[in-house]
Amino acid sequence: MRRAVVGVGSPFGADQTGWKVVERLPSTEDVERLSLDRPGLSLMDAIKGFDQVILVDAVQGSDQPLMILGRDQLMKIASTSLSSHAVGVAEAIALGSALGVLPERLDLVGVRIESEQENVDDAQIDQAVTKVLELLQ
Amino acid sequence: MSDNKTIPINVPVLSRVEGEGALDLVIRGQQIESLKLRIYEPPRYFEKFLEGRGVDQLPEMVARICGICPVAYQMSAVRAVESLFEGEVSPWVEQMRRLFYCGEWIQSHALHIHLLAAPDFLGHEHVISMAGEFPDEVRRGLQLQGLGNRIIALLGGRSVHPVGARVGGFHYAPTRQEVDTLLEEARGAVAESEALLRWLVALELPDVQQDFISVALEESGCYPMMGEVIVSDQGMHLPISQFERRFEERQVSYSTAFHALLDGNPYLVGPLARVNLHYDQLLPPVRALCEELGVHFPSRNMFDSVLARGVELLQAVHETVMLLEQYRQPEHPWSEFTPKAGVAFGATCAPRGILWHRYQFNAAGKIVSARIVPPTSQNQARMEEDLRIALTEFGLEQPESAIKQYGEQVIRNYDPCISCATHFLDLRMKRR
Repeated sequence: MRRAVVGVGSPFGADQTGWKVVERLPSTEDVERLSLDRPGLSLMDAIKGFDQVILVDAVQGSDQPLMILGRDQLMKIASTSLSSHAVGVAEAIALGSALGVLPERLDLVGVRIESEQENVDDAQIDQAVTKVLELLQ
Repeated sequence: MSDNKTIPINVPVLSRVEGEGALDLVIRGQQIESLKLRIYEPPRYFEKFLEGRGVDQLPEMVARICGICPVAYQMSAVRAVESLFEGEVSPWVEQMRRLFYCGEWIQSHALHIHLLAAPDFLGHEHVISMAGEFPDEVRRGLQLQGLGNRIIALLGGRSVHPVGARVGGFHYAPTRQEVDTLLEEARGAVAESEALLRWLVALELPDVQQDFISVALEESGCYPMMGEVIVSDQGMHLPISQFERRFEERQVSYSTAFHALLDGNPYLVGPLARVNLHYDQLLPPVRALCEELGVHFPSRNMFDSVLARGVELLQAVHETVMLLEQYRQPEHPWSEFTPKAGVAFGATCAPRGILWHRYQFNAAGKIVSARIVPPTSQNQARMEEDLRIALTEFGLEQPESAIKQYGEQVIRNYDPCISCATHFLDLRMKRR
């Protein structure tokens, strides 16, 4: 079974959270670790061929410090007014689903941030790492 | 509808365009009384940010004006610097810049065709639903878009805000292995982009014939991506340094983006204008396929813009293969340029049209002033002119929802990059 944990982010402040979570994961042979910089639609290429993918990303507006979304939930929040300047994770997932290229098991671990301007929160990173490891069990 | 009735139609947010814009339309009787394409993106002050900066920072800063066409901004900028400063770029750099630009055209056109334009012509609200009916076509489009990004990343280090370009050339020369890997993919993309053009030709496109002025750069001996002369189908032949003598930008009260006029008239830049003017410069296999498919240029139908993008995408794929096949590693991927005071001009063919830069430099090579005229602001006046004609022809008695949808399709023909178009406001400030 091919599995991957994918940190989605950018070089700006707390938007690096997904990358930091991936960095802190223990290295194992059976789980690939990827860090993607603003992948847009290329997220679909990156996760193609895996049986299980856990995406990790900073999120705003959540009422929980950690938010776990399955594939169906991700698609519900995808915007259909796609602009090629602003294709987010949810939109890429929705398009991937329409094209039949998504892994059988797909989860998003969303780590709440207030804004990109803040620094990465160490305690939150650790919580996210614990949650990712649970999902990989 | 009675002759005395006034119908206001507001499209508060245009969908499937880059950035934020709106259309305000007042119809009185059988005529359009008022039409305003409102751009309300906040001004971004890039031209002010550049003042005092050195040319080492210039490519990185201008790349951030646009996430879809960073190569265009970088190329217009570095060519401007090199036109003034002392130095010379190597033939290798000239070739690689053309390859870099091929990547941008491929990714931008593929993205526009599949995400923004095609849903209109196939009865879908967006590409996600279109993918349910046309999965192979959408996959092909995304694969081509990915190829474009990989070409940009080959020379730029990454496709979003690439960092590889610099004055004098590139920071890094790709290895033979990197080139060969991409060459294999590019060769496969020839058939895919031919199939794309066949698919586009089969679309049922509206036929709305209009008079407009096509304007593009001219590049000696080839289909233009970079050039020193601006040409039009009215016989204009203007060095880019004289842009301001014939082209004027005007602020309108309802938009944060300038409107540009040529001798006081709206004009068109972009793929349709380029193909209209330079069809004969397309590579022989591209012209051969156009002839086989009955694709004719010049065209006066703005809806043929999607075909023009398909043609240019195919052209860029062919050029990519040629340039990668000819690739040799250089001794140096960039050459030194010595600063010089003066005014510099650079213009290249962004996916959406001419992107014109003007910089004033001091003797230390720092930017004293900058002016950047993006293609979308040049098309603003033409878009409004088009809307008046196209909507009137469509029928102002049509339901409001139909007029809204058609108006948006008309605007999408221009692939407006509204986020780039808000490039400058005349800032006057008093301190009390």
